[in-house]
Amino acid sequence: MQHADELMAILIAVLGAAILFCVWRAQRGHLPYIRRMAGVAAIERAVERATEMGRPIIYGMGWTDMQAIETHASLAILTHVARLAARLQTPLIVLARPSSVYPVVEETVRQAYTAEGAVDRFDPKEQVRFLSDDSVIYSSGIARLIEETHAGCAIFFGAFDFTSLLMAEPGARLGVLQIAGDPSLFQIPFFVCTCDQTLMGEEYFAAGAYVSTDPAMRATLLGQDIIKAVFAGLILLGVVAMLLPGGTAEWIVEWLKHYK
Amino acid sequence: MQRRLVWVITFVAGLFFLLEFVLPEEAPAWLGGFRNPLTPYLDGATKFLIVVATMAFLVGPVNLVRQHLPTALRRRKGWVESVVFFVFLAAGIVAQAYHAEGRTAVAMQAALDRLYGVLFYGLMLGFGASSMALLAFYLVSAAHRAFRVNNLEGGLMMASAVIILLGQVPLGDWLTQGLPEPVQLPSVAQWILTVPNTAVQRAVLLGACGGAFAAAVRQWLGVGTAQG
Repeated sequence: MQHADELMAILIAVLGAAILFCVWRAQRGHLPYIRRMAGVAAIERAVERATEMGRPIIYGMGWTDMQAIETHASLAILTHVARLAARLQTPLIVLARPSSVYPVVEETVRQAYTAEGAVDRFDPKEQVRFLSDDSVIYSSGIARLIEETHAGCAIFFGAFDFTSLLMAEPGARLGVLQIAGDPSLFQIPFFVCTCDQTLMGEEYFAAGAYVSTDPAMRATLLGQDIIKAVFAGLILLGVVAMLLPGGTAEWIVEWLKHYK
Repeated sequence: MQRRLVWVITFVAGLFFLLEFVLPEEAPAWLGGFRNPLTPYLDGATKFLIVVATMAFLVGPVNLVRQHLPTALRRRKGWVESVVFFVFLAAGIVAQAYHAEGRTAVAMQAALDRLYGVLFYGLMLGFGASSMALLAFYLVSAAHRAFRVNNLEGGLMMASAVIILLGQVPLGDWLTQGLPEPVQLPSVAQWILTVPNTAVQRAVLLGACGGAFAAAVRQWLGVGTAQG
């Protein structure tokens, strides 16, 4: 079995403490400044646009299952989109994949509609759909749904694979307002080419906290920045150690290389 | 009460996996040399996760049936596709269930193997490959849109793309062979790939790691949820 070594255990403790500290401060009324995230603001604009056009919102999940944090981040954004859709009475169709995620997605949308007092308008059979566990079929199905329903906007949020372009290009050619979020770098170029806004890397994970109205949740974004500062500090430490004359800090370089 | 219970289960499960990972397999002698007490239970916990995921597995296909059944029965728009779905669903189940050898008579086995071959190798792979072939055209279309130089970022992207493309082919080498080696196109292309490109990739990766960690802690402690 794989276990953490000393540095990893220390890092987990320090980074976890940083987040808990931010939550603790937020609960005492110290809220950090949070810069505007264009991608998240675009989600709200997209939902409003779909409402004005009287067309549905299509939401596509990624391929990861419930054990992946990417799925939970996507569900956080789905909650936000579903609440907006319920409030504005705009049709929402969510494509769930893989099948093990389906019941959680259905429950997430149901809770969002319930929170907006619109649970009677929620139709799980029509609004939460399963197409396939197969990437190509899933992506082709989303593309077809966007074309058939003349979607007002399409939101792809999750970890996607090689079929991202297959999913997003038809919508781009039809002029559908599309927003994508993917934590990995490999599909980002395709989403940048086909979508109006793209959230990548840390933005993907921050989006869920950004849309939350809970101060403690929003404060964890500062925790994310502290984590980045720790990583930047380690990089700086390595650079300085490399530049010191005579190999005086060679052990630091070797130590960091070991943990690279 | 139910939400509180969900939070407690999430917290305890998260704590188990965290401690199992953070505690060493065998502590150093000065700490008593104890073995990780949670590791023996890791396999069981992982199997439990698989069982839970398997329980949810059928829900997706059931939704497909719920989608297509009323359409097929009431002959709504697209009912032919719904009928085709049921035909292939039945054929797929039969072919897959009896695909293993020795389950049926020889003649029947040959027919089922043929059905399996037609469904999976003949149709499914063919359809998949056809869809994938569309990617080539989509790539051209997407690249055409992306390479419109209408702002500074577009110009930079276009310039670096041209350098990378030319740097990978003999033409780029030939065009700049008279220049000093560091400014020849293959060298510049290699520099773009290994220095700025790698730096950006690592920066995004580090940010994503931090984001994933923060999201995991939020999820584990129920921060911002009804449970927390």
